[in-house]
Amino acid sequence: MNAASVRLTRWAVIIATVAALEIVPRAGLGDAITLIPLSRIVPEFFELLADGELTPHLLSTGGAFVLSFLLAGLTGVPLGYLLWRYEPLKRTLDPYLTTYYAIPIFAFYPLLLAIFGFNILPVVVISWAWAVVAVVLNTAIGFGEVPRVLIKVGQSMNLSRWQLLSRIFFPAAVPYVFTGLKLGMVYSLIGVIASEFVLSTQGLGYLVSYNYTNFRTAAMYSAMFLILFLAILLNWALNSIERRLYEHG
Amino acid sequence: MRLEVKEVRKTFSGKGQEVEALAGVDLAVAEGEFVSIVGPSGCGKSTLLEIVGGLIGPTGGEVLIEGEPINGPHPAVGLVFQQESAFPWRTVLGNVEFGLEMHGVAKGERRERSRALIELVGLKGFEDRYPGELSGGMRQRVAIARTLVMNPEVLLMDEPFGALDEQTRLILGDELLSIWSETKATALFITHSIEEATLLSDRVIVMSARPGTIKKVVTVDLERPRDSSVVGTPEFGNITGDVWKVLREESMKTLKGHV
Amino acid sequence: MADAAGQTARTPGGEPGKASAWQDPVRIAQLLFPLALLALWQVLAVVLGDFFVASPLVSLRALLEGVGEGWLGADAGVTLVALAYGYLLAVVLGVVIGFLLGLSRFAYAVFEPIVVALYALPKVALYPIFLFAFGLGIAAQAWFAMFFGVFPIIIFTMSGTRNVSEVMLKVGRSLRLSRLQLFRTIVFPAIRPSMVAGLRIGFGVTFLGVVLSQMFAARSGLGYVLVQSVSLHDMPRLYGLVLLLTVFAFAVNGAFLLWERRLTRNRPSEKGAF
Repeated sequence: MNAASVRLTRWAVIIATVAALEIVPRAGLGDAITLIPLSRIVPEFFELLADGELTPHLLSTGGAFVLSFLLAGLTGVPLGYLLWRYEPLKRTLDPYLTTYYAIPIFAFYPLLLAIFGFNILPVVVISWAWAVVAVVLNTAIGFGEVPRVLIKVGQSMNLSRWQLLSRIFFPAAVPYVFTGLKLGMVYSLIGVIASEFVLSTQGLGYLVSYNYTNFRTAAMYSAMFLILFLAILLNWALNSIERRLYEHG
Repeated sequence: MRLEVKEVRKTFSGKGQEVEALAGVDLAVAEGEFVSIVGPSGCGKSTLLEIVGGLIGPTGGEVLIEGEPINGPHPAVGLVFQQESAFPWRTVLGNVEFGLEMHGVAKGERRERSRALIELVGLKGFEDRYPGELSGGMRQRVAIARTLVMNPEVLLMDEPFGALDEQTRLILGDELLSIWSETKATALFITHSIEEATLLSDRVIVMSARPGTIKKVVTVDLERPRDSSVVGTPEFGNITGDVWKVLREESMKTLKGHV
Repeated sequence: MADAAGQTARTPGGEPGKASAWQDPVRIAQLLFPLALLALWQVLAVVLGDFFVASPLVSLRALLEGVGEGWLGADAGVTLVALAYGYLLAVVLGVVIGFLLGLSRFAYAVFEPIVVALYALPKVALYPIFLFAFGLGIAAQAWFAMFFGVFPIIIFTMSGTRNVSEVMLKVGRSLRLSRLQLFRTIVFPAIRPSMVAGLRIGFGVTFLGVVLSQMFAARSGLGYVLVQSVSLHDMPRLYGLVLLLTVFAFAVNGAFLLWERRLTRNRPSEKGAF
């Protein structure tokens, strides 16, 4: 087994899947109204883009995504640090934090809508809530997993507390914190799209549900593909940054 | 610098039970002397080294350097650990100059001293590499250089070559001997390899099974400068045989305790 | 190798600290945490008023009324049926696909990144495709929930299968075990802990899928009632339902965790001695 043949096969699987999206509808293996070949969706996408119909939704989704991710990072990293710093706090909250993602947090979204009304705020809050715990958990784990021997090296060199923290704990925890931020980013996007899709008045998720309810199937598929494309791009970018980060480690 | 360990005891307590790790260890290392400690696993030799290094406090007794009792890590003492301890986020040069940087040594001077040390441990040309790009043996050289660059007068080493294969550790042992003969530091070296201990030391100390005490001291009267070619000589064999006789007994106790 | 006292300190003697478990402040804090949340909820209800926050008691009463009026039983029933079907599909497909992909080193290398990437995509927006395929109703919800839950189950089963120890397999082969014996005595026990972890996470995600799908273009189910309560601004019902869903998810997850712990109880912990 070599890496090249693995990669080749993987691409073959992906290309075959994309090809199936074209061939299956064309072969008439389904309802002609709901199954549309890829070659008709892509031009529709560019039409929507040229019309400017996509732009406000793209901006709305992008804004909510950036906002919720920034909030998750700015609150999650310090909270994760505090959790590590105060061991009893961490041990108290541990069972609840590990159960957090088993709870359908999106059930809180309608609640937030009822409180804040139909605007960007409930979307940002629910996406933040979905993302922040991943950041907190990974940050706390990162500080906790700093190898004892590195701490001993610092102590044997008589480092001050601040030097120990800034020169040993922080850099050693970076890969974990980054993993947390990466998950936070992915979760933020999922949160934004999900809440827009379920109930809202703008954004790419909303565009899918709007076009679905108005029987604009080609436009609906193009919004779907745009979402998937952006998510895949984001994942790919984060993974390549992560690989670089671990290169030295 | 002279190093004395007096009646050092250590008891670990946690979760309602106590474990006695060291039961009164007495030891004196003369200035410029190289002493090794061997002992069965779990005998508390690493604990002893960490007490001498000031990382943990003893339950009883004291450690003196030049006749002064220590209280925390002493500036003239350098430590090398068994586990991977090169910082993965710093280059070789960044690792070696770490201590100097932390203690405010000016950039020009710390560069110069670090480069000299990197050359001494045979890593010239690797200054800008990261530890992840080096072999295990090279990473341990980085850790040794990082300690030596501080010019320690007492060098404490806790199985620094423990994670390496036999050939590599003999070769690194040779290198350590030649570096040590230049620095003239007082050295305390922990290992579980009898050969390594004999090759390096003026005296080999055998510790007992837990709770650790000193069981026997074997003087190594092989000529210096020496290198690993002495390993095959009958004199070498006699000394390692002496050490093994005591160590075997203690190791059996440990094994029986575990089974 | 570990020259530390911690290694054997754990083994001798009885079970230390068992009697003092109730005096452990962390344990007490853990038990008090839900009460603290409840108290916070009550305080918020008083401070912000019932337009924004319905108090715990009022919310609970709304749920009890729901039981009396019958809608809660009916909608919770719809949700549970969709969940049961969706989870069953996710478990069967996830375990089978995960096991097959984990058997071959090549298949694992090819598909692992694809499955992980699929897990991380915002799949909610694909729900209309399920509605096209299965119509409005429980079938679409169940298949969609399966689509959510199947990926963690595949991932965990796959990596569990991949990590079956080569040495143990060799031991089995040298004892000339049959294929079935090999599977029953070596492969399955090795996979089980990570598979159960996959089943636990998969359950949470499947449940999320059911609730989300019922929030969109549905006529019944707890997700539907949630969304309906927004337009009615029925705060007691909203808070009550959120509480119900949270407690249910928490309880099921807890049961899974207990199962997991029983399976891994006798294995050496991952953490080495210090």
